[in-house]
Amino acid sequence: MILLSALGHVLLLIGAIFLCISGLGILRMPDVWNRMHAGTKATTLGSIAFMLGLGLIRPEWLPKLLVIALFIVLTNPVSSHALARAVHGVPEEKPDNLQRDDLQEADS
Amino acid sequence: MRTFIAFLLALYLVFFAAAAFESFGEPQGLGRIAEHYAAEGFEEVGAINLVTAVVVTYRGLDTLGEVSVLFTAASAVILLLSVFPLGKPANKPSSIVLLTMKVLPGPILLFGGYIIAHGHLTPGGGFPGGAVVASAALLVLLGCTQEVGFAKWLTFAESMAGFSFAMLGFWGLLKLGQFLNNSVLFLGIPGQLLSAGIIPLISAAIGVKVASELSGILVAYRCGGGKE
Repeated sequence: MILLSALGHVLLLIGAIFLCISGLGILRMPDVWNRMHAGTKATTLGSIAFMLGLGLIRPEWLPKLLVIALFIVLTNPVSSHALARAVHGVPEEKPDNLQRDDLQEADS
Repeated sequence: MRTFIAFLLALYLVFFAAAAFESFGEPQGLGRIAEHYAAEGFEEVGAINLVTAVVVTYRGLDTLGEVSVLFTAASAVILLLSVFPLGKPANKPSSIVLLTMKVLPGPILLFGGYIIAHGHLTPGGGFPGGAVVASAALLVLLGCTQEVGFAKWLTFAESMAGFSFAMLGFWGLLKLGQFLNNSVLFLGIPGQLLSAGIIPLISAAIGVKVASELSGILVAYRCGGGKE
């Protein structure tokens, strides 16, 4: 039981570190694509680690936390995907060193 | 120079402002009105969630005004968007968004309805629940290109919700001589789903109102306004 709780606290710490790095990335990254990467990918992992850690500390909360984690797994990548496609339609946000644009070809 | 001034300001905030706020100290117990809410609220209203009891019954008139403020704000946004339209969205929704649109709105609507229906039992109620329901509407709007079917019902649902909130208030005025009196319906056993007088009904009215207003704003953003 103590082992599980300790593991849970480690997971909480990992989740907090990932969320912190993600927030830092949104502040520091140079353009919208990099910021989106920091703001969506890292938060998915960070939130799931947080949910699992809490679930290990309080096993009776685990089912609800797993549902929340499932919801994050379903929504966070989809929202970042929709964001990225929306930004792709804005010409000013196109990177200068873009070599190849498959989405552009698929749309046209 | 600017760094120095900023440094001085930060120093002021950290030391002097903190010292100034310290003299206020911890609150010495509840105020007179809060004392009454905490001591008698459970008996008078029959709601486990005292926050909802205060928001919906004790300060119910304020909430009615608050809902009108929300209505004014939503109308202003929709009016602005119909005068200055944003134009149609450029990209077609991708297959990932379309699939999510088929799967997720059901669970989101269920969760929003749960929050609204349990307003007198758990934290939540009409305002957050309505926002959750509107997020399901946002998902549907993201995934569709043509006009959505529910858009024309939003104004109707919104007016009916506001009307029924006011009517619930007048019911108390006619029956017990007090606007928004909670005891016009049976109070029931506290903690059950069907209890706490008219709080669940008012929560439902607020939820429908908030959901339809926010969805109306989203429809106006997506379709360029001019629908209301």
